[in-house]
Amino acid sequence: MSTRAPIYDPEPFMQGDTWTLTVDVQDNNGAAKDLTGYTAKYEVRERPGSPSLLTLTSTPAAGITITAATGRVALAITSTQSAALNFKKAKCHLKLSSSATPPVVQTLFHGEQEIYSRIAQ
Amino acid sequence: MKLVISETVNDIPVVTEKETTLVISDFDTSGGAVPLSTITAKGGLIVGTGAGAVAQLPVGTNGQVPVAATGETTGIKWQTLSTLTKEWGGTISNPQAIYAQRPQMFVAKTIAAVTISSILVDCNDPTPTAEIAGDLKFADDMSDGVFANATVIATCDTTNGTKLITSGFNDATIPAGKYVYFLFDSSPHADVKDILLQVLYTFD
Repeated sequence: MSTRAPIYDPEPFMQGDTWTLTVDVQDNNGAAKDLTGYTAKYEVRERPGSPSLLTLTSTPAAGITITAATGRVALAITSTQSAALNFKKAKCHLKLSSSATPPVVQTLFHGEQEIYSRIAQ
Repeated sequence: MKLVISETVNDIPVVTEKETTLVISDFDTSGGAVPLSTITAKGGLIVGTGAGAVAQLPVGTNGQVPVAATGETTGIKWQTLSTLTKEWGGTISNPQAIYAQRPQMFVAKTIAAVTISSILVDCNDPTPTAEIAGDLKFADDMSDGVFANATVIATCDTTNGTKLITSGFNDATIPAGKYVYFLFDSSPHADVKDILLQVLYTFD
């Protein structure tokens, strides 16, 4: 198993916008991979080790929904949540963790998340 | 393996939407699999402790079998086979006709020593006059006129058409290889059309 993960920069959006990002994990033939037992976490930080600017998790349910049978990891931020985001560009990281002990951790992607400061309040 | 990523920003006509496919190295998606470490010793069983939860049921002792046990965390426990209650029984129809052939009715032959814990005799007619009188017995054989070493297990005369015996047996312990039978003392009352005979026992 490799831990190499692609770089992906989510679409920039404006403070106050709703934003969703859906990842479908598939095999090379397009068949869904079963994610039973996995939890997901998405974090945004200015740099590694700095305070988290945004944290979404599937367990506890906070912004991420996993549909195991279809291999889908769905992230969602409400307008209220995005309005509170107070950064312009920061590092982001989406990972999966299995329920095994110790868990198998798999990064799906990492990149940069950009937020446009809103003008109209 | 690949990731198909789609994004939306606002669900209004000015939505920005894109879809990207990224190639990613294969990774194990058996995160829900039961880890081998669940089993710590020979003979252990993996059992469900709830929805999506498992645990090991350590092996029991020789001769034990797993039985359902809702009071256990694992829902199953090991139990010695001999302590499991088993049953002989059935319905006797038209007992007068059977009695006319011969008064003994074969119930079972013991394959091992057993101990009787309960006998139920239940007639279809519960009126005080519709009774049967007889004994549950065992013997070395079922040959007509022989029944060597016949032993009374319990007297089963009914009252109001029924008799339940759970204690006070004449002899509740039956050796292996014996024939168990019901012996009518007299012809059953004409109103008795059916008799339920149920014998509960455990292996010794």
